[in-house]
Amino acid sequence: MNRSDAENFLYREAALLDHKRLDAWLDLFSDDALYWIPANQSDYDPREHVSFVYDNMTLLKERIGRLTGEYCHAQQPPSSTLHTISNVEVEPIGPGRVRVRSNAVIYEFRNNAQRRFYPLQTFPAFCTHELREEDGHWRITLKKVALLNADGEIFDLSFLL
Amino acid sequence: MNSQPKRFDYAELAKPDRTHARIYTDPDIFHEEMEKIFRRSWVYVAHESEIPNPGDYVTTYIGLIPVIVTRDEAGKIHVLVNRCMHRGATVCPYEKGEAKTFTCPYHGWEYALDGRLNAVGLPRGYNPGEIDKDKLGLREAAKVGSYRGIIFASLDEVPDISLEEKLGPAIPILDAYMDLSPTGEIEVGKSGVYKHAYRGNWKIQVEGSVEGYHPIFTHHSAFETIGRTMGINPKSSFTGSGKTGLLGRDLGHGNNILEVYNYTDEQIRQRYPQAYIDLLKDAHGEKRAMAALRTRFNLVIFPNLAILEYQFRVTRPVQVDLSEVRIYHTMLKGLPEEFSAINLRRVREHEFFYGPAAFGGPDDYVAFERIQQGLVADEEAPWVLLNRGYTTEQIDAEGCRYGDLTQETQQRAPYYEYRRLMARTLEAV
Repeated sequence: MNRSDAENFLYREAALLDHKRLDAWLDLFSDDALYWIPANQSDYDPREHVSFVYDNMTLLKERIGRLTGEYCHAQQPPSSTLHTISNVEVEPIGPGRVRVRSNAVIYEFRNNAQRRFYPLQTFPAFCTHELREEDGHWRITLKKVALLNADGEIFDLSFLL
Repeated sequence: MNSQPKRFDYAELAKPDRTHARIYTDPDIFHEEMEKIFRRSWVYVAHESEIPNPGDYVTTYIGLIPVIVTRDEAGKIHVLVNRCMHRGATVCPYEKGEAKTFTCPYHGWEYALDGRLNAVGLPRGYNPGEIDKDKLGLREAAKVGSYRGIIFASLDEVPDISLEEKLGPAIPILDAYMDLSPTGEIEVGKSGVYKHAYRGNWKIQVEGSVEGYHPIFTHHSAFETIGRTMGINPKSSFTGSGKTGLLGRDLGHGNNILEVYNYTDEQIRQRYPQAYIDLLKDAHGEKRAMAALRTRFNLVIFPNLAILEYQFRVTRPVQVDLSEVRIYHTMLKGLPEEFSAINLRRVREHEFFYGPAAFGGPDDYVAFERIQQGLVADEEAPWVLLNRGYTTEQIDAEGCRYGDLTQETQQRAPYYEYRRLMARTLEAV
């Protein structure tokens, strides 16, 4: 996988998220994948430190079920997001395996007419994707989103990054 | 706040079974609370595990007042107002760290870990009599005390009760929390801090920390996931029949507890490996070990601390309708390596439910914000109702009011202390 391939992969992933095609987004992940958003610092050991999100695929599917279900009060109305991706670097880490680093700026908005003043939130992040080739497709084995404001005050992060 | 606040009748605004919307929305009441509750009664500031060594410090707030909690060279803890005595700048800009001194960035005034003024910038410019270093140390909390590492302070005047009186029946509950560690020690915040904010009054979080009525509604989605992935049904604890056997209790002086689970011996054996149960029995004796293993609870130490399963939750009032919440994750100290799974479960279970991206927390905070949005309709609907189970409330052997966990005894509890503290005149304190 070269940089151009990696960019195409990340753009496609972002488009699936931003257009809420979550089944297709989940298909990008391997069965043993991990979806990780560290808290406080990007390099804390997740066994010794709590994260914002530390999902295996079972929990990630539960998360999506919750966010799109009837009882997620924090997502009423649901968030819209826009991902902008840059600074893509590719590093081979084994046969059929690469690590892709990128910077992302994620904008999030909830058009809440009752609230009127719900802010547009901005989340800049250092992203790491580890990908593995399976049957001719690249699949995500790790998606790590290290927020620039991981140690800051956050009102609400109840949407997918 | 320059003018003397308006006089409010707090017995009318905070009745035993209801509170007036105004106490959540009126800026004058908010400022009176900062004076009478936060400056002049016991307030949680930090846990000793955050500042284990001489020179360690954390910065926090007592109400609106920025403070530094330090450990000096001799190991003594000080709670210092983070405000240079010269022109008022904060002398420490960091959340935590270690230091030998604190130096103001504006004119180089330097303070020791105990608050003493060591030196001022360009001292030769002062004439004799213009500066008295002995009187210009950082202002220090009038009273500092701790129980099992939990540090409380009162900033302005000595409170009218001792820390032991303040904690009272909460003491065995604090013991049970710490006794899950074989050495009886925990570490607070080292394993993570969630920093939330919500647009609502601070008391909504205080009430919400021990809310036994809302979970099956607000946390329906989280409970479904717990049921599917962990094979347990948390809903059974929150049926609200009045007969769950789980209680809400008023522990006095505003403190209160919601029992979340009261495990049977069989459930304890399912939840914990026998070797760990034995470890605790050897360390603490049968009685203390079983008390620690049996109970899971949400405890409020009024006004700003809540201790929940794996967390110290600290509420900081910012404005009448803006609050900051810090959720400090806690780990058990002194666990032998073969029991690391016990602490790992504390990480994963905590992170599943709490925090701004978790399965439970965001739904609580949206509820808190929607309360604040609705409460502005105070002419149309002035009262917040806290009367569920009021007429069937009972008194236990320790003199504590109690009721079934959904019946709002624990939400009514803070307002007994609230009325007591708010009724005091500032001059009389």
